[in-house]
Amino acid sequence: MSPFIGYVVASALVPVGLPLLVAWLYTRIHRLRFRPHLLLGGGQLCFFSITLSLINISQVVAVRGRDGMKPWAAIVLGFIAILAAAVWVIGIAETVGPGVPSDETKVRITRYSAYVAGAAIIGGGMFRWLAGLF
Amino acid sequence: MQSYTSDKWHVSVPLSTEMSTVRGASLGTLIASGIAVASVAVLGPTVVIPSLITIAGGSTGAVIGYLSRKRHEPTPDASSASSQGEIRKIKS
Repeated sequence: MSPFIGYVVASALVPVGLPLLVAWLYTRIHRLRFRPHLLLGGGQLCFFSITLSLINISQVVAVRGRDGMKPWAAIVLGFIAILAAAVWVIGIAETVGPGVPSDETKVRITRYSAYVAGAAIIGGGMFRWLAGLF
Repeated sequence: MQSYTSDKWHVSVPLSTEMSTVRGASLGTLIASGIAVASVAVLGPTVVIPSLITIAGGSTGAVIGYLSRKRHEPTPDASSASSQGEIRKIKS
C-alpha cells in the first residue's frame, strides 16, 4: 500500500466511514431509517477535522529539513482547525438556542462540518506530500 | 426552494449571519484546498501559493456567505411560519 493510499484510508475512510458503516448496519438490523445528520448533526466531524489538522501539523513540523514550509503548514492547517471549531460552536449554538432545532439545522451542521473535514484531509495530504511523507 | 410535502406552506427565513458565514467559509476552504493541490501539481513543490490560495478561499467564502445570508427554509406549519418570516401558499 502506498503512503498516499495509507493516509487516505487511515485518516479518512476508517475514522469516518467505520462508525457510519456500523450505524448503517444497526439501522438495517432494526429496520430503522438511516439518517446521518442525527449522528453527525452535533458537529462530530469538526472534532475529527481539528484532530487531523493538529496531527498533520505535528508530523510535518517533525520532518527534518524543509524549514521554509513548516510555518505555512502551521498557518493553513491551523486556519482549518480554527474554522472547524467555529463551525462546531456556531452549529451547537443554533441547536441549543431557543426553540426546537429543526432537522434542517442538523443537516446544515453535518454538511458544513463535512466541507471542513474534506478541506482538512486535502490540506493535510498536500502538506504531507510537500514534506516528503508520501 | 426545498419542498415540504406534509402541508402546503413554505416560508422564507433568513439564515443566521453566523451560519451563513461559516457555510461560505467551509465551502470556500474546501474548494480552495482542491485548487491548491492542483496548483502544486502544476507549479511543482511550492508552498506559498497553495497556502495563500487556501486561506484566501476560506476568507472570501466567509465574506460572500456573510453578504448573502438570505435563504429559504421549509417549516412544518403555517402558524410557526408566520412568526418567522415571509409566508406563501404553494399552488397545487
